[in-house]
Amino acid sequence: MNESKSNQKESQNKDMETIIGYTLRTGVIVSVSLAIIDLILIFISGNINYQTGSYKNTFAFITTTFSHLSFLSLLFIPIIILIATPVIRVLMSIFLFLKDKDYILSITTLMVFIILLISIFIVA
Amino acid sequence: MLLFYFGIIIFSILAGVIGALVGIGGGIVIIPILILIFHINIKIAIGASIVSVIATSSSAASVYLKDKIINIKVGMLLEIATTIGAITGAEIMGILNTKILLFIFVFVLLISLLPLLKNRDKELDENVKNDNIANYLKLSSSYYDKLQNKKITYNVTNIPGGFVIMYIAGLISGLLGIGSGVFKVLALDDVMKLPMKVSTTTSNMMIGVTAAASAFIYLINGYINPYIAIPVMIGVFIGSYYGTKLIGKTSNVYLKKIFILVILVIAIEMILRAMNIL
Repeated sequence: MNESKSNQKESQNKDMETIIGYTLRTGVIVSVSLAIIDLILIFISGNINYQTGSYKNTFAFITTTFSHLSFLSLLFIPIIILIATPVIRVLMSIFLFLKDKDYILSITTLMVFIILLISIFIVA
Repeated sequence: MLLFYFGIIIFSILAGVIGALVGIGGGIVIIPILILIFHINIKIAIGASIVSVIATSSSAASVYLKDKIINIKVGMLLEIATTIGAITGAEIMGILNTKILLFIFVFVLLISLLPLLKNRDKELDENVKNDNIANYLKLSSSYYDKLQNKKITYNVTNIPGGFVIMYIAGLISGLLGIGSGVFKVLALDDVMKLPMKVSTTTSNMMIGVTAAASAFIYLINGYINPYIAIPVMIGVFIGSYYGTKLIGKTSNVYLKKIFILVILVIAIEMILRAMNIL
């Protein structure tokens, strides 16, 4: 009885690790592929003069960069996908740990997620 | 312009290979190269580095998760400390001037060499006892060691101490745009007494999440220049991928000695640069 219970838990954990691993891999592959396309575009355009500017907050950055689809917004897309990958991974982990009924770990992960949200929307 | 770009890509691949082989990470190797060879501002170099750090850490973690060596509970708990540290570090980085950042970078670079001089193949300490927090959160765990062909069960101790070191590790990561795996392993291995394999893989899983906390702040403050970050990220990613496959096929001792020498030269150059002599 105990044996089968622990086996069941083991298999759930395995699923969870597969899903998290898959999320990470997908995020990286999509981002790096888009980055390679961007690199080719940069070579074709032959222009690398860009002065970075600072923005008031994340909303200001997104609205300025993506208000119209410019060359620069194309360049920022793979970078944003990549930075968002660990954040999405943490968000998914909360639900996966909840499904596993591991409440302490869910709360821990939720705290990490909240800190990440603070870094994205409040501090920056 | 073509030459400049090819140069950045080639050197980024090289930094990725060396970073993976020596076990120090690609970010800390590419930053001095961008500053000294390509005359890129240190803050833009830091911004490009953090993007490459997320790419390599995320792809490595997806592999380690399959091997079930990572201690997810310990990693998540300590990510609370590293992410708060990373936010602090990224904010401080925005205020500091280039010169002070250069000095801090050289200091951290030299400290990061210390573990390379130490023999890491030590036996696991069997007498480690869980502390109260580890008992309450059930942090002790086990993994299957392929080399020794047996299951290794371990305890976790000194969580408060590990938390403090992890905050500092996060702060350094956010301040300099590096993974600061050396400091994370210090907390897991030396302070909390986890087995070496668990420490290195868990540290790797934590690096991506820590880096994400400071990366958004860099992005909003304008330290991520996509024209530099994109070739660096692609290069370091490809380099680390092949570097990881080369581990074990090359003589590590010899490589580490050359690496230490090269880093010492780089450190001197960076100090001269910071003092306006170069």
